[in-house]
Amino acid sequence: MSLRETLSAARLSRQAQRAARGDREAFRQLYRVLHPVVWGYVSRRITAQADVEDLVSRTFTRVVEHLPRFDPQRGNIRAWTTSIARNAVIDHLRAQRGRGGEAEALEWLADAALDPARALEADERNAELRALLSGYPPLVREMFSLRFGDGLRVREIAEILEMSEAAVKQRFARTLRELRGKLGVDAETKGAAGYAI
Amino acid sequence: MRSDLEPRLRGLYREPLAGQQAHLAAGEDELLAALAPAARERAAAAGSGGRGSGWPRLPRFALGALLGVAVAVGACVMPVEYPVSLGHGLEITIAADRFDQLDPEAIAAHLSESLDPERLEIRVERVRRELAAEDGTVRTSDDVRLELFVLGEDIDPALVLDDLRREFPLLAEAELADVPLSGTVHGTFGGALSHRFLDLTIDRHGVEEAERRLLDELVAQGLPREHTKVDITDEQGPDGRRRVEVRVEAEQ
Repeated sequence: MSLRETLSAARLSRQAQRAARGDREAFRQLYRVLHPVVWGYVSRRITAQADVEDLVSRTFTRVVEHLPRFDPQRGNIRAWTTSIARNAVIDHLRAQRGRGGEAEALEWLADAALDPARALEADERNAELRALLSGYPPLVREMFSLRFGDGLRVREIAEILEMSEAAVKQRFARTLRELRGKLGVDAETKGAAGYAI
Repeated sequence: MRSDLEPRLRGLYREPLAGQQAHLAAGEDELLAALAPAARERAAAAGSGGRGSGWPRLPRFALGALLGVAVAVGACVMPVEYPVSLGHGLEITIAADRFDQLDPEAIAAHLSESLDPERLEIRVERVRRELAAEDGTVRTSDDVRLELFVLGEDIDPALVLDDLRREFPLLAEAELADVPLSGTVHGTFGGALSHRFLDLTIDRHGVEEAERRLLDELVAQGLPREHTKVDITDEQGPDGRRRVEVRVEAEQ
């Protein structure tokens, strides 16, 4: 992580702590940084604008309520807030689809960010990639959507999915290696099994 | 060569819907209105004696003389080894004739803004070195040494030094070094517990309060109050070094 990112994360944590004590300016700054993150997360998974607006508002209401529970030692505020948004989206999906179980909700969530318009495109290569991805468990598919859809970092993904950072890195490395192999990526590239973010 | 797999993966996912800015603006006032009552309710629920609630804010930085902190821990119940970190010392050495172009206060202000440290101190020192050449002549070298002491959370000295080089191009020709104010203490159980208090409590509340808090912690850890004694001394030596000594004696 670069210094700028480190400082930015540390600054956001301090703002969160000040906001938890009622500091309006700290909250305003925090909100302006986090709103695009939450909006992006929710609107990639939920299509109706009114639902998106409602879920984003609900997420921030919970952020205000639970801010004192945020512990900078245990994670960063972006991941913490995204986790709240994720729970709101899970609740919404379960309510919409007849209160399925947790496993069912996670199954929906794993593919919710995939763009259906792209599935209709006559791009065989993307169709193949999409089909290959669909063969992986929901957890891996969600990891991919958080990384490649939302642009989150490995550490943040680990926090959101309550996994260790090493486990997330390992799953990414292994899955990318497998995908490259199955897609017939040339040998030179296939050898690059590592995955650094 | 890198595969195009990752861009292709990115291309599988949706773009966010439009309308983010409008929603942000619409919700801001309402959330701010909810913030103060929520904080008040929490404060009321927590009572008025919440730890840290009344701590005065330290000045962001102060020009002062402080070279380092030494720690010694006295006897206690169980011997242990533990690392202590008391902040970071950053040392910048630059030729004296370039010093006029260096602005220590600007550096302090930048670090204060970017790191928001609990404490930041600066010491400027002019150093004249006499170097003897083989032919017997003596050449003098004048340098200015800028010493920074930074105390705060999440401070990575290597990144800070890189940042300083970027922000202050003059420092490209300076020597920048991290002088960690830390090490392993071969101490005791009481000392291991006490080191957490050294960084801030003494500065904020004074020695007596630090002693009282440390004693409370030790008692909370199971030591008998009547047989536990905490003694802290905080002295500034003639060489400018600060020495904090924490002595804990206890019987179980």
